[in-house]
Amino acid sequence: MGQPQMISDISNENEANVEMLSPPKQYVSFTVDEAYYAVDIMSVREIKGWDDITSLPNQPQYIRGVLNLRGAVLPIVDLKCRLGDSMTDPTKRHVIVIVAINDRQIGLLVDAVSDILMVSDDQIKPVPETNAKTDANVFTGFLTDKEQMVAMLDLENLFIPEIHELDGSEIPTNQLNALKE
Amino acid sequence: MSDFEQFRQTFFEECDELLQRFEEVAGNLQPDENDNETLNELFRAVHSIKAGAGAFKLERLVTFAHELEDFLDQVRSGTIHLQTGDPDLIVQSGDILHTLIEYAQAREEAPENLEADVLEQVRQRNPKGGQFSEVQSAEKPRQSGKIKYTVKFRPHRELYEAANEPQLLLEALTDLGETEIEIDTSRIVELSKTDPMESYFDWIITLETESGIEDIEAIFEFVDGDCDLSIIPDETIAEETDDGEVLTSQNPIEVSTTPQNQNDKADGEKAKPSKGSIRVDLERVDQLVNMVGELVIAQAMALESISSEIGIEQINQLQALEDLTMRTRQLQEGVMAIRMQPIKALFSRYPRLVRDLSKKLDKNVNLILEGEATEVDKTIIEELADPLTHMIRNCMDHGIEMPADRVGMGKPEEGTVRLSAEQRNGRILIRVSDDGRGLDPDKVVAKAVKQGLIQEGEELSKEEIEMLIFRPGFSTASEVSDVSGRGVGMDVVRRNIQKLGGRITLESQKGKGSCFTLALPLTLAVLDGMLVATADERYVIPLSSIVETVCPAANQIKEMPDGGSVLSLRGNAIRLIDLCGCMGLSRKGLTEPLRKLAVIVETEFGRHVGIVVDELLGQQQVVIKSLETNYYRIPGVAGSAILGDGRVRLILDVDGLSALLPKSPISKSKTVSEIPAENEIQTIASGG
Repeated sequence: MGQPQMISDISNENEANVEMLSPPKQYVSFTVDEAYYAVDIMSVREIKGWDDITSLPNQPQYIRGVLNLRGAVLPIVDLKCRLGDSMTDPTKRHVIVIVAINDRQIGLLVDAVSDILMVSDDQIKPVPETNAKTDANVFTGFLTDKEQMVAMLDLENLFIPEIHELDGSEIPTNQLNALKE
Repeated sequence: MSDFEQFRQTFFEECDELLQRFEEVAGNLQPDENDNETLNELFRAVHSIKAGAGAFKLERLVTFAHELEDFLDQVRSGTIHLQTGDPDLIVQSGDILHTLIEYAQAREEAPENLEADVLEQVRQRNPKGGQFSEVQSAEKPRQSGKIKYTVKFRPHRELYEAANEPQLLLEALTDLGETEIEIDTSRIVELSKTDPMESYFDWIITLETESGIEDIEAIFEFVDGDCDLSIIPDETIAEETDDGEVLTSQNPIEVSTTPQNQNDKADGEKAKPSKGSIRVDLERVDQLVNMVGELVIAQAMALESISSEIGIEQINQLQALEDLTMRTRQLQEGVMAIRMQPIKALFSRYPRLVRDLSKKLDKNVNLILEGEATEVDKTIIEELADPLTHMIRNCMDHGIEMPADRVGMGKPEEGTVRLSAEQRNGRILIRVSDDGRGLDPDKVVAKAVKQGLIQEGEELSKEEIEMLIFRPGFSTASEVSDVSGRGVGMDVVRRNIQKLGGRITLESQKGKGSCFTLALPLTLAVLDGMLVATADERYVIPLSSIVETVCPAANQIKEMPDGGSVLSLRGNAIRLIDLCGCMGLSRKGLTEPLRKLAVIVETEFGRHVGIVVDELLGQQQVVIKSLETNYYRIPGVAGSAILGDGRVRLILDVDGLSALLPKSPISKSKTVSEIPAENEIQTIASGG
């Protein structure tokens, strides 16, 4: 995929504002299917290329499997699939962004990492009410820059057990327990 | 350090832990609330302290713990209702226990009346409580007749500096029996070179006495660390003395240490308890074990990747790598060994239990211990204490008959309970067996029907009947006695064993006795697994659950209407699980179904299930990585492991896998099952 149009350091434009408000935070942005997403840079642990991973049985489709990251076993979420689209067909050029959510670490499968953005809180606009297919709360807000819309990912909601049970598991856990009885 | 010292130290370490727990829990007590979980925990802590204290003849501690235990027992059974002030009383009692233990550990007598006040309060709250009057059963039967000891005593200068007088010690020895005292003056140097503060004399005392080695040690207790001491029982009798361990083994004369250096002690000397071991947070050890496990894997990976490029010319480099491999393995073994302890520490608790129970039940029972030197992971030892206690109680209460009945049946009057441990095929086998009445299948079935565990008229194989006693809510005792009724059920025992990655099986013959066999992993840090492959994916099946592997023939497989299939194996019908399907994999290309293998595994209730795989790739030790660290629990998966190629592989949970099957009645396998279970059990045994 061609080098995406970089979103320039937009903090320049709003310098006057920034001084009065909370200091801008850094975000890592990346692309999935030519759309832009970003996460707080503080939650990013590592970025690595796609590697063969081990699939997990009977999990939601967007859980691609687990990966060995220097001895830690991390689940890999196919972001495209998680956001309601089809599964990514990963190549060596695809990228895994490893993020920390609370005590867990997960990898996000994305197309490419694009930039590091300096953004102050007031630049992030809330998510409007939608009837979207995916749960709207996977985003914390949107950032618009030069016609490009960047969706801020809410990592905690992206990856919570409720969603993962509802979506995917062929056998919900309660039913499983009943079987075991 | 003598064995006795080691036990003593273990006991105090345990007390520490128990008291800590006691204090934590006691803080949560509320008046008017007989919280069973909390009270049970308190009761168990006090009970364990009492038992240990009894073994070390700490009378005051025993008396106090007994009264407290009794009180707690009344409270948890609801006879006594917790009132305002009672939680405080319990917390106070904990403090008293603490103080008493501290004094005991320092081998000092606690101040008089230390516990009197609290004890009085406890008695007031529990007036019916039995005053403690149990006859102190001698932990070590004193040898009749005299034993000859050779005591070698070399004071250091510190001994004199601390104003100790060897003569008094020698006199005290003389009080124990007949002595012959020789002085060894060989260390005396030329007069001009003597240091007036130095110690130059050694004594060699031959002592003939009825007292045990502890009594001799006790005399030197106060100069412990300030002298070299070796106590050697006369060889001919040495083997018979229960605890008379040879302190300095081969060369007692060689205990020459520079007297100036107090740290430099002869290894035979009775070291201070703190000297022999340090307490390390188990978590740290585990981290180390895990890290070393990773190191071994990483090293194997590195080796694999370069080995293809190294030719015979680089023989030196190859040798260096070989060396590295060897050392890494040694490191791994060494680190694993940190967690290992001889099972003796656990087994030695039981003679007392058996003695006490014999008295209580009016039965004559002899406990035989075997394989006490077998080394087992510390966590396993800890987790085994309760299950073993329960099984031994069961054996004695339900297994062994009353002496009169035994004689009537032509058995020796004295019953035998055997507790053995051995290491076999990389697993620890622990057996608890008795020569009692065994399991009565009819009684068990009747009970199970009554308790609704099975349907009336259901036909069960012998081993299925035996498995019934592991079901929750099952108890064979017609009435709950205070011996085994107090404890936990066999289902809990089974669950505990399974939590440790082990298996428990029972073999029983009516009238002849029964034998519980526990098969446990050597360590919890690594798992022995069988690497299997299906449709390009690889999985690890825990070796502990594998019974056998078969290559089924066409006429052995029957398709089921629900889409599954059943394998007929030596007359038993076994459910087959297609691993490929279970794991949601798509099979690539056509595979000849009959070229598949079925790995027969044993699931939780002793049921056998066959896991169908394409290939067996061999046995492998893996470090278990929980998926839950970064993800969630997945049905059918026990965890994951990173193999030599760096890839993550899933460890299958056979119980979980079989739960993924459509539910079917327990009797499903009965239609074909004509052959009784004996051969089944043998299969299990040989598979383990």
